[in-house]
Amino acid sequence: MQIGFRAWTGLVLAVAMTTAGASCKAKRRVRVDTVEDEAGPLASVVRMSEPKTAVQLVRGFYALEQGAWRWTKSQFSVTLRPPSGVAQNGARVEMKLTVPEAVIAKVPVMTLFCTVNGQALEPEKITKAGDLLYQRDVGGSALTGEAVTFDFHVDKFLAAGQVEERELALIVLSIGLVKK
Amino acid sequence: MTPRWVRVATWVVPALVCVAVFWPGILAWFQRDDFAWLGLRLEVYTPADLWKALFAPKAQGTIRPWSERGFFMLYSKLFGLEALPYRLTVFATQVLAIFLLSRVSWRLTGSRLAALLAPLFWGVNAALGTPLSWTSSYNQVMCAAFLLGAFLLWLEYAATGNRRYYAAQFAVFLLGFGALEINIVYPGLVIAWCVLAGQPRRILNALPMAAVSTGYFFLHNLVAPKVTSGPYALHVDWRMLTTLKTYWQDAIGGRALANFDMPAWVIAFGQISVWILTAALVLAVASAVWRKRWLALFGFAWFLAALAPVLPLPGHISDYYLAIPTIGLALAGASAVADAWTWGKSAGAAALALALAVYAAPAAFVGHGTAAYYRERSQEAEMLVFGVERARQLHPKQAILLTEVSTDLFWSGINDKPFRLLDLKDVFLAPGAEDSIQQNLDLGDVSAFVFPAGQVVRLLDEGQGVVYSAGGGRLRNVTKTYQMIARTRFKAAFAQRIDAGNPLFAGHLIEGWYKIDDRNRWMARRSVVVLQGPTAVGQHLTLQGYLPKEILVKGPLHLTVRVDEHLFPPVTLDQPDAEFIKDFALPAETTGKERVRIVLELDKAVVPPGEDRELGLLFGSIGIH
Repeated sequence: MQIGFRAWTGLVLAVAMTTAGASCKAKRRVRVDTVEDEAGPLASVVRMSEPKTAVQLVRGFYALEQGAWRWTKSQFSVTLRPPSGVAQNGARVEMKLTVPEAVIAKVPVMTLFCTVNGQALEPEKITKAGDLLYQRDVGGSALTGEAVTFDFHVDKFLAAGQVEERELALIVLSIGLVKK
Repeated sequence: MTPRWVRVATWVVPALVCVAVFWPGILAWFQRDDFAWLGLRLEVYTPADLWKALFAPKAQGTIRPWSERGFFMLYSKLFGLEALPYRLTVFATQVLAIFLLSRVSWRLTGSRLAALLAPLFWGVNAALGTPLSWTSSYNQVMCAAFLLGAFLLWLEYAATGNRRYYAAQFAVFLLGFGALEINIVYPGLVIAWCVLAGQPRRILNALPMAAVSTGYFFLHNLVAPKVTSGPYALHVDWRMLTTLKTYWQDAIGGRALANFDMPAWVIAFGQISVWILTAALVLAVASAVWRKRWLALFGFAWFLAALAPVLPLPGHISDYYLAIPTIGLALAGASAVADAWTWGKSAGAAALALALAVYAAPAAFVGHGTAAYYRERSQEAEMLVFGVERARQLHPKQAILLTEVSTDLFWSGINDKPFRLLDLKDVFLAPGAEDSIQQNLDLGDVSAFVFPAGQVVRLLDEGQGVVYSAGGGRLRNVTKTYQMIARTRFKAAFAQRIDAGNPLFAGHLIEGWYKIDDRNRWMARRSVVVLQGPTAVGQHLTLQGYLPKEILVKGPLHLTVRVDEHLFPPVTLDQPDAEFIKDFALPAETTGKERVRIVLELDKAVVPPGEDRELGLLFGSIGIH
């Protein structure tokens, strides 16, 4: 027979040795520490690149890409801490975003809406691709408490399966609440 | 006589190349179905359980005692969650398969070059990316080794007439059924060889194997659930040709280069490579037919035979289904290159260069990328599982809620319940975390893992839970931040689904319930539970629990369920020592209610020997979905 006895023996020994070498039951255990430095108060400005504030992106954001930005779904929400004193004077919400060519190519006109504590902000009509700074004044009555959630949505977007599996709307870099 | 080092090199070199391409697979941890198989051992208490765990047909009627159940049960007993021994075993089996393929190729062609090239071509094929990096698909590698081992013994028998080889190949063939159902095609391979090798009388020797395969086919059809819809539904129609075309393109070409971040010309080259290689193989077939070298066609027969069982599955095209069929293409390609050398040195060199540049290089790149992808996914799962274990050490009595869980991490590291392997209970997705996970109902239901939103503020305010973010590698405790957000987002409400044996939900159990009994809870003859009402018309109430035989001593039980004012007809419970699941379609008028009162009442209850309580049913979970 052409299959030599030594070849077979060598193979069997190789299997036995590799397995036995890794045996000695699980002495090695991956040591995974958790990070227990619990955050302080919520942030007023959430930058997508900052992992510590990612928990404030409460709905409709996809995973961080290239360490800088995130795709959103058609509806997305962020919770922010109102800066001190804005309950009296109001504040301005600012969102830095990019409207991708791929979206405008399929959706030439879309409108971005935002509501906060039931107060609707003036919509923004989007008609061209590129960077955009969305800014709206928010009345102080909507900014009470230690946390305020801003709910955004667009009326038109790329449905799941249209370009890729995910529903896609905008690319967001940061959202913040600043004093006027 | 060929020098010994040349003979050894014909399999050692391909084995080393294969390991070099797929090395990330050696370092991969577990993911997805691995956790279900790793947990199989936890369900074995008696010899009967062991028999069932090893041989009872599972989903799609699979029975794979060596490559899945026995493998995982034995190794999890020996090595626990240490993945390296599993991975080394997979690679050792792959090296064995490469050795056998080299011998088979030499036996078929008599060419040392073909003996080198066949395992080299197969050992870099991208279809091996998944089997060599995901332990649950070890069945492909093991079955390949069984098929090649049996076939090599058949060739030895055919060459020598020694019946011992015949008996040995028969035994290896039979054992192969314990690896993967594709083993059924082995008699077809043997018959194809008999025809192409000009030994039709040998077909008679293949008939006993054909009888076994036929018997297995009917047995499998008997035990496998009939699937008429979804990805596993069989469609024996024209779509098989489309499926064959897809598999052909994936098997030989670099089409998958398009999945990587590559220059446009490389991606275009990958698309064109399919046509170049197809043309080259057509030429090889024409040459073989012209020169009446029929055995050179055997590789194509192997490809078609091994692929045939999955061609009726147009909705479930998977790259790893090509792992065994591509052995045939590797044999055909090696034979073609060796054949080209007989035309002249320049023809041979051109054929070899074409094969290496147009096939092997793109295939190896894609295969390596696939293995690296699986390794990365598995290591994310590893960080999560051991991170939760560490969090449990820090917070032994609190529920652990996970947020910022990506789609990949959920499906690779949570859906198959890895935490039970470390006895980590009360681990949930934090409410809202499900929003960033893409649903895939073929794999599972994300919502079943989410802690009830209406209960989360109470949980955190009472200090009964902690929240960790899984968004950045190591788990990060974000309890306080999440708590502030939760107060603005989630109104207090009853849960829609509860585990009766979980103290976190004890407030939902109004009357007729006993103390927790090992993560379950007995009801008395009559009990009451409150849940949040259905959120949409058409939702169901599902009761799940266990029925010990002692409870049935007075005969079958009849359970009456009332949801608010709606009374359902009684249902019968009569299966002893078995899980029960009962479903009730909820009336439309309960939809949207903040609270529905569910009354469960049995026609009888028993006081088992040694008990002083009147026991009804052992729950389980109660949920609306």
